[in-house]
Amino acid sequence: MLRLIVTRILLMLLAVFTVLTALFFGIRLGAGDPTVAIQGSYATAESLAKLSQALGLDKPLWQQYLIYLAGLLRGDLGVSIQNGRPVLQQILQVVPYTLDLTFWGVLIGVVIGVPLGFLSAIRRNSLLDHAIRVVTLSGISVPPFIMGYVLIIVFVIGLGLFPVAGGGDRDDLVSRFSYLTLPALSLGLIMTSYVTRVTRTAVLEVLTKDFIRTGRAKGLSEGAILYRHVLRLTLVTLVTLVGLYATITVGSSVVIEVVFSRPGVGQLIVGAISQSDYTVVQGAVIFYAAFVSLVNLAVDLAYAVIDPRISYE
Amino acid sequence: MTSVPEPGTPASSSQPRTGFWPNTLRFIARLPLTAKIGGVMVLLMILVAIFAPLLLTHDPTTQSMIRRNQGFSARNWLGTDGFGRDVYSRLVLGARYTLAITMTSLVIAAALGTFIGLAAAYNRGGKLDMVVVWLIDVLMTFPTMILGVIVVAVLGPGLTNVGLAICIAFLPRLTRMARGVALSIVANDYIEAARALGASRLRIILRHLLPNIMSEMTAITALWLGTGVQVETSLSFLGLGVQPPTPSWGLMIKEGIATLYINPWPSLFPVMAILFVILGLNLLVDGIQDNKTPGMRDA
Repeated sequence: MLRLIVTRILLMLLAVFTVLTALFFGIRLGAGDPTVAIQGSYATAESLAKLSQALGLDKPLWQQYLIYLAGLLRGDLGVSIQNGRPVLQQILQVVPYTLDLTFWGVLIGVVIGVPLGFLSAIRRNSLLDHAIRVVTLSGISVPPFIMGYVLIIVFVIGLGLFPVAGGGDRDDLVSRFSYLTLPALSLGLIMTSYVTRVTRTAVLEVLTKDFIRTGRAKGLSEGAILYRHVLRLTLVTLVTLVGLYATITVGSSVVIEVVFSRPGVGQLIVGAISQSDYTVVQGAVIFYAAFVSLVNLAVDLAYAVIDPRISYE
Repeated sequence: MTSVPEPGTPASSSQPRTGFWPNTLRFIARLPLTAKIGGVMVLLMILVAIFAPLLLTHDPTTQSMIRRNQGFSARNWLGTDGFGRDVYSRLVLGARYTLAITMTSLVIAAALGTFIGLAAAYNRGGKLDMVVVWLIDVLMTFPTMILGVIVVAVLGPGLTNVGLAICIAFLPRLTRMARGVALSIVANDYIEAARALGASRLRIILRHLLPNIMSEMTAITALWLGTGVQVETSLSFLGLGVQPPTPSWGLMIKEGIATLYINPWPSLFPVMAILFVILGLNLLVDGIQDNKTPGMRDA
């Protein structure tokens, strides 16, 4: 087990390092000049050069790269090119908002999606099943930002129930959730559609197995069959998919944060891209890579707990 | 007597005609109703995109300070936006950008992915295969959406770059699938036979492997089109895609949100158009796949 964790973390660091290196050189060679973004296009060449020197952007690329790597080893992600604040501090400030949003989005999806998927599978080809399939197919057809847009139209403009923009006060529970509800629901409803469909397929597959017929033949109640046999077997599939959709949901959170003007890593990276703020983009990318890798690791570890046949010894 | 007609004898009238068109028509006829509806929806949008210039009533970028946020009228069928531009004309031309960018980049990604996947599968366990698998793993660390954002961060926003971003965002997934499909074919005896006959590596890949994974890769690519439209419109909504004043659906929604309280129509129409296209694609693909691989689709 320990060996698995260590290997996975090493591989994950290597992956992040590879992407970061490509990003570091790519963004400096490809994207716009941050000094122009700061001073505007009317700035003189002299003042641009001066700023470039102050930011350390005049050094050869490989030197900048080594300086950045040395900083990383000390846990220092550098300072923002735009406002001079430490990148790590800026990211840590908004990470709770993004994690909150992603967590509740996934939770809504699992809590509604799994029972709905079971129901759809048990009542296969009934009217209810068809209705659920049509609704969930529509659900996965909706891009997250449009789900957010529709919720704003209905609940903010139409009914005036929720505040439209911002992140709320994190220490005040009422404020926190009044700002969180619609963004989390946007992600959660889409997640629900995916989870329902996959749960349905997984349950249907198990229901056709011989041991289910045996269970019925020996007089087990439907509840016992579903709970003791079907749920146990579909759990591995479900955990895999929850992991996969959690990473997709964190990807969608970027757009949702922009729609609801909610603070978060997505809002940060989109702003940083338009301002050519290299260091902030790099920091945000590290966050996303770390998030996805940790979710994948957690999924692998969960297998060993759920399924006695899987062991990492 | 055998029921198989002798070669050269004309097929009896009871036997179904074969060939590309009869086969295709029979395939379409056998699709479930939902898939047919989806197909019509997609076809309609493609036609709008192709004939967009003929369907315009106004120049989609001409602004008018006095005709801002107008309602529906004979002059502006779907009203005007916050800059006084004709919403209908922008919507029609926007179909072109969204569909063209998504389809072109996905087809390019599929072609590249197929070729890389084939080369890797043929080289199974070799250096090339290891590098390809490693690169796929690295890129797959990121959700498609984030990968798209990262590529735009490097290249800068714009029409070509957002296309490239979608291409690169989907490349690892398509390559992995092509490699997976190809691996099962490489194991066949006829590949070994071709090698024994002295066929070159390129010949085996192009003449023996490629035709065998074409239909599967076409289906897989179609499966991702809906997601492709989602990524394209999301990127352009974030302001990372096509730049103003070019009309693109994502951008129209972004600009429309500013006037949401006084005039929701300029953003509502592109929202409906996006849902129409994606729902059409998903209905079509869902009917063809018949729920065989639900876990494969993700954003």
